[in-house]
Amino acid sequence: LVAEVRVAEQNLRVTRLWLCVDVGCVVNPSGIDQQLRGGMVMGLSATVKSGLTVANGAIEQTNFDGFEILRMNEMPEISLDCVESAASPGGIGEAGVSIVAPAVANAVHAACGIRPLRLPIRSEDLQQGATT
Amino acid sequence: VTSKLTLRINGAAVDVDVDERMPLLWVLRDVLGLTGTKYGCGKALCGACTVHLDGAAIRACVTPVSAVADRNVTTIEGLQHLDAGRKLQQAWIREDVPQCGYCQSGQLLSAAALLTKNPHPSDAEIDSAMSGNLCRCGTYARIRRAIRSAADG
Repeated sequence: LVAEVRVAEQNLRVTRLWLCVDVGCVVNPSGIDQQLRGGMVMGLSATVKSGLTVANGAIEQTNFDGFEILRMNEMPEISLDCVESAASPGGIGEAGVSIVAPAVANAVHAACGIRPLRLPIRSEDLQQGATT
Repeated sequence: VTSKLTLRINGAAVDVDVDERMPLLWVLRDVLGLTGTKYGCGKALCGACTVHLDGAAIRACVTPVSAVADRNVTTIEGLQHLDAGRKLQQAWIREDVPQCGYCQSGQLLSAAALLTKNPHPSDAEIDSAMSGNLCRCGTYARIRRAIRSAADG
């Protein structure tokens, strides 16, 4: 997975994601596309928007006002490819989720030299000299 | 205290006897058995409960039933009565849009309100009209494609 980001005045925008997967023999191309794109949207939500905080032993966020997820107008352009393979088919559920954050964090580092070390990546973490 | 109200749901007049402050969502689901309209957040944050009120997309979870008396309400169960609704249904099938499906009634009603008002929306207009409808499965790309396809077809 490769991510393209734009960092301007501490604002992070993920503009493009390229993903290539090896799932073995492709059985259901549409299902793979759905799982991977959906996974990336969920992974990107966790990377740039959704965070949980705990106070007095309870999660503070109770609804989508405090726990935001990606909306259509925030979607990056996504390109998706499968390696051609005759190997036995493997699972593809959720494979797109966990790889988004490291890819985006690396892209942020390439863009501005800052390594975000917590999720979601917050505006204050993108300040020069910020320790996260 | 309950009141007798006449609602117009999907073209049919229906009499209900409910608390005037009851959200339209729960009248639809619990009183009338129209369970295609979904409860998501209860605070107009997610769009799962979207229905049409006189053709405009509204959030049924925050709309008191008294506000819709004698006005036209369209739910997912009446989508096929709309020209844009039929086109969207076909496009949704062509593009194989839904995954878990929970948000899709709301997505379709928001899309139908958009296409009825603006039959050939730009990508930016689609994004703007649809950004109030959350999808946890991330079907946004296919929703956008299906709306474009319905607009072209």
